[in-house]
Amino acid sequence: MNLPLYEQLAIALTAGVLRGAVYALVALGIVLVFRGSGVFNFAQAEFGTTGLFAAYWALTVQGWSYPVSFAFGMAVAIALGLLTERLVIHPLRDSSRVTLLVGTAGVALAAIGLQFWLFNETLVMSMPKIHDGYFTTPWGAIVTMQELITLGVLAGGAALLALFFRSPSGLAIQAAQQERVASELVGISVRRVSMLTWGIAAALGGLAGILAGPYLTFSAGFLSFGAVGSLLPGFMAAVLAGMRSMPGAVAGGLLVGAIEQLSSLEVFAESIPGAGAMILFVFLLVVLLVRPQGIFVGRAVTA
Amino acid sequence: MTMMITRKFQAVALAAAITLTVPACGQKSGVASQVVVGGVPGQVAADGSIVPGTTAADGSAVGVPGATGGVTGGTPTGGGSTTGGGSTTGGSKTTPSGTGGGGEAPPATAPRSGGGDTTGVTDTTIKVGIHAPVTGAAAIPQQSFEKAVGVYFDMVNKKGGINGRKVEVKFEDDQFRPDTARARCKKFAEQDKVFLIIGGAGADQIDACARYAASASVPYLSAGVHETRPGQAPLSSLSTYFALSLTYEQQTPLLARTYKASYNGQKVAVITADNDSLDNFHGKAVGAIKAAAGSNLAYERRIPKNTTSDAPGIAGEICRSGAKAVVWNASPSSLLNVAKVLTCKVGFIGPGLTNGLNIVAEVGCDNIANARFYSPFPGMDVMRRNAEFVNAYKASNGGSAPDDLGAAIYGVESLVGMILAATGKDLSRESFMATIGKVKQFNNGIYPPTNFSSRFGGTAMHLLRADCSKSEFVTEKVNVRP
Repeated sequence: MNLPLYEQLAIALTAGVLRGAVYALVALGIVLVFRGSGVFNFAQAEFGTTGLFAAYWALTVQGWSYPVSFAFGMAVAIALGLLTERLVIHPLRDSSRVTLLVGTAGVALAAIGLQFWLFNETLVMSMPKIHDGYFTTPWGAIVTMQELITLGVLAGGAALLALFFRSPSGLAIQAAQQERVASELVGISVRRVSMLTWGIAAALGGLAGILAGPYLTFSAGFLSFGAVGSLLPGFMAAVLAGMRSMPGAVAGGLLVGAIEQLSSLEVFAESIPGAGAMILFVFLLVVLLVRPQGIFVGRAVTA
Repeated sequence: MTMMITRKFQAVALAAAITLTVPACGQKSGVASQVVVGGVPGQVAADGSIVPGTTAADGSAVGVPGATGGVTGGTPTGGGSTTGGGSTTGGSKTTPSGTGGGGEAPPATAPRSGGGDTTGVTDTTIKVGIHAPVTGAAAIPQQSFEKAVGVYFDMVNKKGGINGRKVEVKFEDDQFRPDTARARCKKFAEQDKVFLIIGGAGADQIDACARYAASASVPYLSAGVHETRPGQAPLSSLSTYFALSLTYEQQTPLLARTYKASYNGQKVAVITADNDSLDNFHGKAVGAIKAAAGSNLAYERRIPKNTTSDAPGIAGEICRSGAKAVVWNASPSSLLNVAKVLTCKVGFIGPGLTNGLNIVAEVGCDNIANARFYSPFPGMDVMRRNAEFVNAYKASNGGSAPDDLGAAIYGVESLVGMILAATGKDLSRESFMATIGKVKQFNNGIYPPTNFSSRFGGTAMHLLRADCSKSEFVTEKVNVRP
């Protein structure tokens, strides 16, 4: 093909930002849970895959309409988030962070096992897009409507979250994480706040899974390490956001997606197998060495 | 302090994420896995194309030319045409103009009666090991392999076995990992003490196991895969290895011919997975397509073994190149991902891989409509008419209808069974391999006829086409020779 480098770069960055929208949705959930309950949530991506599988089942097996299937998938994802909170996080609330981390990893692995078990006969699945349209940018990048919808949902979701964290409920989430006893004393139900946090995070995961599923084919563990593996990029984005900044999580997700796609440049694509992961890790390493608190962190957050 | 703790846990979290994720990245999804299949009933036109809806009056399969079961050419040392997928009309003589493809010729001198290595053979049994990816291969349903393995040998055992010996099948899941495949084959050789090993699917796993088998002097048979791997001896030099169908490299003339037949004068791309074992294939494929298409070879690229996040970029490059045909040799999951994000219409052409499995058509249609893949086994449109196969499969699996993976394994088992039968009562590893070298031509009516003038015994392939109205691959031509 031998496109000029600037064209290759423009195409890669466009594709990266579009892919990064999925990472950003996952990162938002990770940051939200960390802010709300101090837990590194390894189940975040699997909330999405489970929601996607539910939507797929509703749409292709049951023949329900797309909107109903989408809503069903979201409901299942949120239910999984709430169950995780009730059955894993709440009983372990006084345990160490490492214990909680392992608990969420257990939820992720259990979810993947469940997906394998229930869909053993259909290992590779494909779901139609919400909209099949696409267009080509002036610099030659192909943008599908499904990707644009995901980007739009990310923008809308991020705006809603920003508003939410200015509301009493949003402030209650932060208060409950920072000082649980004091929060209870002023009338904040820590239990309810925790469930709210996990419910919203699971919804973000569900959106990521159900919107990204139609991009490619999918199988068990799709959003963790499958075709749109977003767990590690999501965590990277969250780290770039200092694990606390919601706008930072969005920016981090988009940046991680863009950097990952640099591997599609001809200079890397054929000469370095797995260049995407390598470039990403090198970038993260540099960021952690130079600015360990993250690069998308507001002053108030870093203080 | 809080910040320090947070950083510490960030590090812990990332380390854990990497630990969780990186092992999954090593999974080789469907890379070049080929399976073996069988049964070529169905009437065939003079050019090898299938005439639809042709079945024998008794409902049994109608054999294709040169595919009537039994040993062809040469004189079996015993057994003869007791097996075979199609009608068992007893070894019609065909003389395929096999290609062979270089490499060391198999031994043609059998040890004297009673001599040789008889590991895995008793007066009443022959122990055979089969490895295949039950787990880890994204595009292949796990139960398909479990149901498929042993179907042919079960049927033969019920009829008294091969030369009076029952065949005992040991099956191992290689998890689609070459290191696991090697370990499983070592287990076959050292613990299970099998007589021979069959590779069910997966080029890299077959390569790994074949090399181990040669070091342990265990006969190893599989469908044809690649011929060479950089830094290692070519498969043709392995003393116990036998490819039962054409290798990828041998199929490149077929790919060029298919391009010319269907897309002549149009732009074409060549896409190959970046497994080092496919380096030689890629070079030959590009050369063959360049010779056929000239300047219309618009794009060629190696892609990751498991193409996921790269798929949109690759699809975009294919479309920007203006290619109307894509010669494809990469995993089915990569095919499905790239096809799904294509914004232009192309026709895929490829060598015999798992890309021709119906699961690919089920998931990939309409994006892969009319994709043509060469396969060592015919499609289920043909195999469903092979009454012997269908009945054997149902008998072994509680009445379940067979799938194409069942046909694949049945085909390779029946071909191996045919060679065992031809070897005769005095069965040893040496006499078994000598029989391959001496008889050369075996025809089970499922695989194209063999001609073992070298380690690569394939002579032809079947051409399958994705028929999206049926969501399956149908057999377009059988026994297409390079």
